[in-house]
Parts: sequence; C-alpha cells; structure tokens
Amino acid sequence: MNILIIEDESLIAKSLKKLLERRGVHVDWCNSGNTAIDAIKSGSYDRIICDLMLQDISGFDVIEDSKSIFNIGEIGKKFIIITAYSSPQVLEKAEQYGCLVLSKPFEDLNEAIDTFIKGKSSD
Amino acid sequence: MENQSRPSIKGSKKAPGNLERRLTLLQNEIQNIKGESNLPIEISSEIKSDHKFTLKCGTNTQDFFRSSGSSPISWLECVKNNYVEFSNRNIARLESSRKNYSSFRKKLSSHLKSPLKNQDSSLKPLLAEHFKDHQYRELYNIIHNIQSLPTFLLSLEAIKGYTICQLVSHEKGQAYAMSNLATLGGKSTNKRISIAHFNKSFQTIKKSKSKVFQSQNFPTEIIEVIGTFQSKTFVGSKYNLILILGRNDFLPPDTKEKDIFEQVTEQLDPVLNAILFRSSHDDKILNIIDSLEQAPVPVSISDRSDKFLFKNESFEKMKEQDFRDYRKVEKELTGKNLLRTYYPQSNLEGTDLYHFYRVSLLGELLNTLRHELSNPLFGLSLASDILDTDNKDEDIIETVFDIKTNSKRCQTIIKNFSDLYQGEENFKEFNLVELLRETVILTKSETKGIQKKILSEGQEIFIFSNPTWLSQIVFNLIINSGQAILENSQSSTRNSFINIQIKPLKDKVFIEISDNGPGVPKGNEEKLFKSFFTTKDSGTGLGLSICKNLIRKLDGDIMHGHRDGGGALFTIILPHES
Repeated sequence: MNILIIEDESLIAKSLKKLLERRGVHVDWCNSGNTAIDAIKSGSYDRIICDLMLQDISGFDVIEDSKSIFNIGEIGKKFIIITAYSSPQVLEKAEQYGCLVLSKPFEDLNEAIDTFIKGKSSD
Repeated sequence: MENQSRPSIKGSKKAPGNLERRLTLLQNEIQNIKGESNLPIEISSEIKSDHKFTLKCGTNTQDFFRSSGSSPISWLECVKNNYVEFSNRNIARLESSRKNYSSFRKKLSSHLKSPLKNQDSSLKPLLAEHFKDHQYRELYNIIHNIQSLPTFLLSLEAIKGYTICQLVSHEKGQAYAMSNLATLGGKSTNKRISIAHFNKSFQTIKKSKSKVFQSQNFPTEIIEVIGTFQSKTFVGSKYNLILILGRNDFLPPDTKEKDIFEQVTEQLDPVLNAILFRSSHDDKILNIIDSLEQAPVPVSISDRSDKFLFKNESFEKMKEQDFRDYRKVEKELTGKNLLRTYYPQSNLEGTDLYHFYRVSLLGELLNTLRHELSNPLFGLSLASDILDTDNKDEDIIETVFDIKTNSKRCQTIIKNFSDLYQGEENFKEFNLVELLRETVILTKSETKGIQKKILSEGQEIFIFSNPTWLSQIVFNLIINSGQAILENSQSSTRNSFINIQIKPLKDKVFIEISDNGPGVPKGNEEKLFKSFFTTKDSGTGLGLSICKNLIRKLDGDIMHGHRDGGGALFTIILPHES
C-alpha cells in the first residue's frame, strides 16, 4: 500500500510516516503543495493525507489539480484531509469532494492511523 | 332704534334677549380665559334697567349702556374696553400661567430668524395707517386666534341679529382651506375644506356686487349657512378669506344691514390678515416648542438670572443625581438666554464601541494564535508519543514525557483562552469557579509575585451568564488590584494578595474581589465608574466604566467598598437561580 503525506509541519509528517510504516505501509512525504502535485502525477498512491494550510498553496488546490487524473469518486476515496481549521466552510468544501476530514490534534491517534489505512469505512 | 330697523328678527322684545346672549358670550370668553389662567377673578353681570348693565372683572366694574349711541360699533367698543382692561392687567399672569410660553415664544422667535419679527415691524405702519382709532390695534391684541373671531363678531352690537358667522381661510400654498364657524348659541366648530370648493366660492363672492347670496347656489361642503347670507372676500398677502354672516332664514337684508355689513367688514379688513398671520406663526412656534419638548435629551432655557424659561419633558424627568452623569452643553441665545442640552455620559457609545473592538480583536488574535500554535504543538506531542515507545533509557523517557505533557498543557491553555473570547452575545450555563480560575491564569503576567486565591475553590457553582463579559470584568478588577499593589510596594510583594470569594445568596451570587493594596483614594469613590476617570499615568479611564456597562448587560451590579484591614474591595452581583 502506498500513502502520500502532504504536511508542512515536519514533526507531524515524520511521526505519521513512522507510525504508518510500522503498519507495513510505504509512505512518501511532501512538505509543499506544488511538490505534492508532481508526486501525485508521477506516482500511484492508494491514499493521500493532505493538510490544508500549506506554505505555498492550499490543500484544496492540490485536490482540485488532481481532478485531471482522478475522477470525483477516486478523489473522495484517495484523499483524507487533516486540518487544524475545521470550520464549517472547510467541512462543506470537503463534503463537495467527498473527502474525510480529521481535525488536528487527533482525538485518538490509533484510530486516526486506522482511518488512513482503511480509508472511508462506508465504502 | 336699531332693533326696530330689523324686521327679520321675530318680535321687538328680542333686544334684552340679545343683550343677555351677548353677555353670556362675553362671560364665556372671560370664563375661558379665567380657566386657562387660573386667576382669582370674579365675573358677574347684572342688567340694571332697560338701558344699563354692569360687568365686573375682578375689581374693575364698568357700566355699559346698551344704546350708547348711534354708532354701529358701540358694542365692539364696550367689549373691547373690557377685554383690554382685563388683558392689560392680567397679561403677565396669563403668560406665566401658560408655562411661560408666551414670553418664551417672543424670546425664542427673536433668536430664530422668525417671520414674526418681520411681521411685527411691517405691521406697525399698517396698524397705524388703518387703525387710527386705537381700538383696532387693540382688537388685534384681543383676538389671538382665528377660531375665536366668528364668536367675537357675533357678539358685536353692530351686527346683532345674525345667528351664524363663518370664516373660511386659505393660506396660500396649503392644500386645503380652514373653516371656522360660530353660532349665536356659543357653538364653535372648525373643519377642513377642499381647495377646489374654496376657490370656486371665493371667485363667485368676489365678483358679486350685492354681496348677498343664497346658500343653494354654493356647495354645502363649504357654506354652512342656510338661506340668505352676506359675504365678503378678503385678499391678503398670505391668505384669502371668505367671511359669511347669516341668520339661517331666507329674508334678504335691508339697505341698512348691507351698510353695516360693509362698514364692519371694511374695518376688519386690515386686522384679519394680521391675526391670521400671527395665528399661523404661533403654530410654527408651537411646533418648535413641541419639538424641543419631545427631544430625547434634556433641554432647558434659562434667562440671565438663571431662571428657567423652559424645561422639556426629559429635563423634568431628570433626577438630582443625574445632573452629574450628564455632559452639559451650553449655547447662548439672543438676549443672553442660555440654551442647555444634556447628554448622558456614563453610557458613552464610544466607550462600548472601543471595548467591543478591543475584545473582538483579542478574540481574533487568540484564535489565530490557537491555530498557529496547535499545529506545531500537535507535532510535538505526536513525535514525543513515538519517542516514548522507541526508547528504553529512563532519563529520555522522562524527558519525552515532560515534553508531551507540556505541549498538551499549552494546547489546553490556548484553547480555553480562545473559547473565552469567542461569542460576544454568548449567554450560556458555565462553571463560575472554572471561569474565575482561567481568568486568574490570564492575569499572571500583570500580577507577578502577588498571591491570588479563589476562596471558593472546590465549590461547583453553575450560573447562566455571558462568560466572555464576566471574565472581562473580573480580569479588569484583578489587573487593577495588581497594578495598584505593584505601584505601591517599592520592595517586595511577598505579603500582597488578591482574593476572590464566591458567595451564593438566594437568587444572586456575589463575587468579591479584594486586595491588601492601597485601596481607592478617598474622594475618588464617586468618580470611580465614570468614563475617562483615571489615577494612573498611562490609564485610559475606561476599564471600570466598561465593567459597569458590561455588568448592566448581565443584569447585575458592581459596587466598591473598603476591605477590612485596608485595601480595595469590589463586589460583583449576578443573578443566579439556585
């Protein structure tokens, strides 16, 4: 299983990477939106964990851009949004893409890791 | 004899009846004035003989002879003399009894560039020219409004025998005309009349040479007399008038009656417009007075000796203590009169605005801070979680644990603070003790080294209020205490303290914030909650005034006292359902 983490806070990214690797997943990490767009186009990821507040562009820009290679159903399954700003507007927008949203800090770390691996439980 | 020359009046014994009626009218007039003025006057009348009667106004007794001459205006003179005598003596009291309005009007109008002023000066030559006899100038002084003119005319000996008098006036530019009607019975009514009806009738009457008309030729809306009537139009600079005199019968007036009508109306001509002008001007002045009267802020006008000429409703309602709370703005009027307007001070809109601006700014700032900090803090706790499980070294495990707990604490603190400043209008149920504890933490840097205690620690008191505002108030009071203590103690704050005690009592909860600082200096207690009052060099003087405003919004109160053993004591009282 291949997972891409898009997160500019290195402590979070590295920790998540480590925790996911312990569960036998291959993890790549991008710390900016633009490098992530390149990575998504060149690699094949089962899951993309995407922060919204990145240094260059927003996480939603990354998702919007990947519409060129994924259909809307794939976007909903592949992308999981992690954010510290879980405002109603953010939740509404995520809903439009059909993406899961996890608020930082995670309430239960293990549950969050499970979600990253399993994706949307309803599917 | 005049009576005999009037065949239209039923019977020759009409004369004493007429006299009595006129007397009644006159008495009614005087009674009205008496009622208005509340003057201690006696009015009595007595018909002494066939030729004489007595009218008494106060101490002034005057005998009138019914047939005192051949002049058709003799009765006018009689009435006038009495009125003038009466009004000359009592005008001052009349005016003062009308809440000083008359004298105030004059003063006010001299300040406002009023038409009255212009009118008065232009009227003087006019009056002098037409009223060579002083009596007409006085007539102008007697008839104060147009409504009473028809009644007055009916009471004139010269035109006795008429039972109905109507005066229709149209002020140029107005969309309607006004009709004032009086009957000999003393009834007086007024109504509005459409301009179309007025103009049509006006033209008809104006063109006629005989000045005698039949009512069926006019619309009933305007002419209220039945049968034959005499009428004349007056053209003034501001008004057009129709004067109508009738008897409600169909007999035409004889030559003498026509002459008398002509004579009276001719003499009335110059004074009518002047009276109308004044009465409309009085209306305008009254409008100004009414506006002042109903102004939402207290307004007063006083003369040079500081005697009140005018107080409006808000002013009358003001209590003694309110005067200190109000900002007084004075403006000198013409004649050295002083116009004073009072503005409430303690509720300065600006203060509130400043406060809300500050709080919302603080709220935004805290929110940004919360989000900016929570991400790296989350990183810290995530990383320390991993390090925690990876390591075997006790020292490292302990250190990592400290990092973890500290970052969690940081997250909690920042979350609580931003929660505290979230909703401005947010009333909810919350734990009072917890809120106080969080607020005390917030004051840490301003109260360094001072011991702070919440004396009701452990107690759980839930109240329904606005936590943001309450925290603001408590925060302000603690900061004030802290600053006072730190300013006062040169060396050490070792023994200084700020105590917060919660005392629930029936349907209220008391929060006492006391310190052992210098306390509020004597003489400043009253000014304490006023805006812009401060004893600090860098103070804005808004803190406590904002507290007072906020506590009012919480339906509570805040009081200041002295702590036993020295220091300040502030008590917040909040509603509390136990």
